[in-house]
Amino acid sequence: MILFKNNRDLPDIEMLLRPHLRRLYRLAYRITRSRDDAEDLVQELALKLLPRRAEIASLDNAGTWLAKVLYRMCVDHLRRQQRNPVKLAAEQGNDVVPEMDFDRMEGVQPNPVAHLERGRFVEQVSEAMMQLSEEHRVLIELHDVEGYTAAEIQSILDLPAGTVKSRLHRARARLRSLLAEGTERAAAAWE
Amino acid sequence: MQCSDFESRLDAYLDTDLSEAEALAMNFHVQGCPRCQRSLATAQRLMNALRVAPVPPSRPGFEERVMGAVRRQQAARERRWFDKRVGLALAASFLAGVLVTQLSLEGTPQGAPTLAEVFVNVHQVQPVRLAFDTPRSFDDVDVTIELPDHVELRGYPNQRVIRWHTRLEQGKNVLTLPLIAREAGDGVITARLTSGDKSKRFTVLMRARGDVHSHLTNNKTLI
Repeated sequence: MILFKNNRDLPDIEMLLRPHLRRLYRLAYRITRSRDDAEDLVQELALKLLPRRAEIASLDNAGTWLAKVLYRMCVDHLRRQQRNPVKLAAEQGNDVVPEMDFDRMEGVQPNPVAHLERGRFVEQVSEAMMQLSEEHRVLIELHDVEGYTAAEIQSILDLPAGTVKSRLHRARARLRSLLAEGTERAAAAWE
Repeated sequence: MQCSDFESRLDAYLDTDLSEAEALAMNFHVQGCPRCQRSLATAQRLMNALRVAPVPPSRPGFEERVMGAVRRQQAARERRWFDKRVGLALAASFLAGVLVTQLSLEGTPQGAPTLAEVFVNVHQVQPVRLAFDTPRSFDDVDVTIELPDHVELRGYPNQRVIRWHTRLEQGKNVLTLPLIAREAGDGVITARLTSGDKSKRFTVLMRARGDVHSHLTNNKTLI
């Protein structure tokens, strides 16, 4: 922990928050599945933390702490939405269909057929992800998609380290099983 | 190694959580086992697909919008703070003044009390202003005001000791005490400022008179 003698020594709030904004946006999107909500929640977080500049500046791993606060805000937001599931017409259709980030995929070749097949598989994975329980989906989103370490997830979700690992193991097993079921159904449809 | 062992350690293998010896055993097994080769390939394909799971980019100017909102709120906060301070200072248009300059809590654990003098009229609210001029800001300061028996702080009847927690900004910090003397006589007001293990005490001699004229002492430097 870094200690500051007084407010004049503290880094500017912009210096503290700006480096984390993109990753926080991605996290909020992963949880809410809405670009509008993700942007709004990140802004809300930044405003909420304005009076806590000293606290942020004193943290060794501010990124994880910010992710933890944002995660709770996202969960609260989803709970509020569930209580009030009516979405205004103006809010609908604002969310763009996301494009796959193939730059992050290992061993990608500029082969159109392979590209198409990969795209199809990624879609299958996305569909299977939506069939997972919220608890399992969030774990996979954080660890395997966004690359948070088990220790970071332990802090963000406030779970014991062993629980993170065992739950992640079960989540992946469930995802693989859902994908296998989907493949079997697709094969049966061709017979 | 059995195939069941390989399957149960597959996640740890992919996350590189295994020891070197365990990872070598996994490598050795998979090289000679087509079934586990398929399992590994499927798991790696899934990991790759997850890595490219799409996120729509934020709207252009997203970061600027967030930081702009933060800057506006910060400015509003500073403005509110300033207005409050200026408002307090203006409210004390009729006041007895005591100026305490160059407050430094460091290195003076129990500062020797120094006396300033203020004259007030009995039964009249008399704002007594204490100005603490600090060379730097102090985040956590406890302020304790002790009043003589015949003097009250408006809004705190019969309360001889008033405590609160505050922050001192670098420069002049004005503390306005609306005091009422219930009877004529002299008494000592003590203001104690404590930050951590450092403490400083200031005293003001308050002379309450029954006549209609009050006298203001000239600003005094107590330190």
